[in-house]
Amino acid sequence: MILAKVIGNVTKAACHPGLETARVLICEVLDQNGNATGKVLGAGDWIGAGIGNEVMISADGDACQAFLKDSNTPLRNVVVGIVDSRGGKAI
Amino acid sequence: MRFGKVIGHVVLSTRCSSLEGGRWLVVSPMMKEQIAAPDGPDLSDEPSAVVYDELGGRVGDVIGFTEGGEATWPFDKPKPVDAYNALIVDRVNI
Repeated sequence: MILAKVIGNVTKAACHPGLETARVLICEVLDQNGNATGKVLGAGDWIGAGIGNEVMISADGDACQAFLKDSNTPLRNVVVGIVDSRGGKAI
Repeated sequence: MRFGKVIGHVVLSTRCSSLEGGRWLVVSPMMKEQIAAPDGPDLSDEPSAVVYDELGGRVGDVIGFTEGGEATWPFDKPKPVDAYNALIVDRVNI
């Protein structure tokens, strides 16, 4: 899974029909200590993550099938969890 | 899904038979600095990718493209494609 922070969202001018109802968030990937890496991903969101939330993104398409009606939608990243807190020592 | 700015297109002279009638965009992947200023001139130093397109992306558009095995899902007949244009961005809200 990918640890990321939601920094914004995207409105679509045109998209694959399966993605019409999808809410696409712009998430910045975090490293293990929670620092931003500058890498940006677009993830589908069906659980209501807001801007500024730390989220966990699944990078496998099969996980998206549970959220999608159209099975041949080309979506790979989906927000599957909102992070409450992270423990462990900084590496 | 990664975001990228369309910087060109590719026309193939010889291709696999299953790629007939394909439309290809040359896309420069965007990092945080680029997505924060989507109309800005600078490009990231990520290697640019060629993306299969069925939505009619033009040069200068910001698109979201899917990579990997999931890029072959929209096709009923299997095609050797690993990057597919899933959406064209209208507005970026950051």
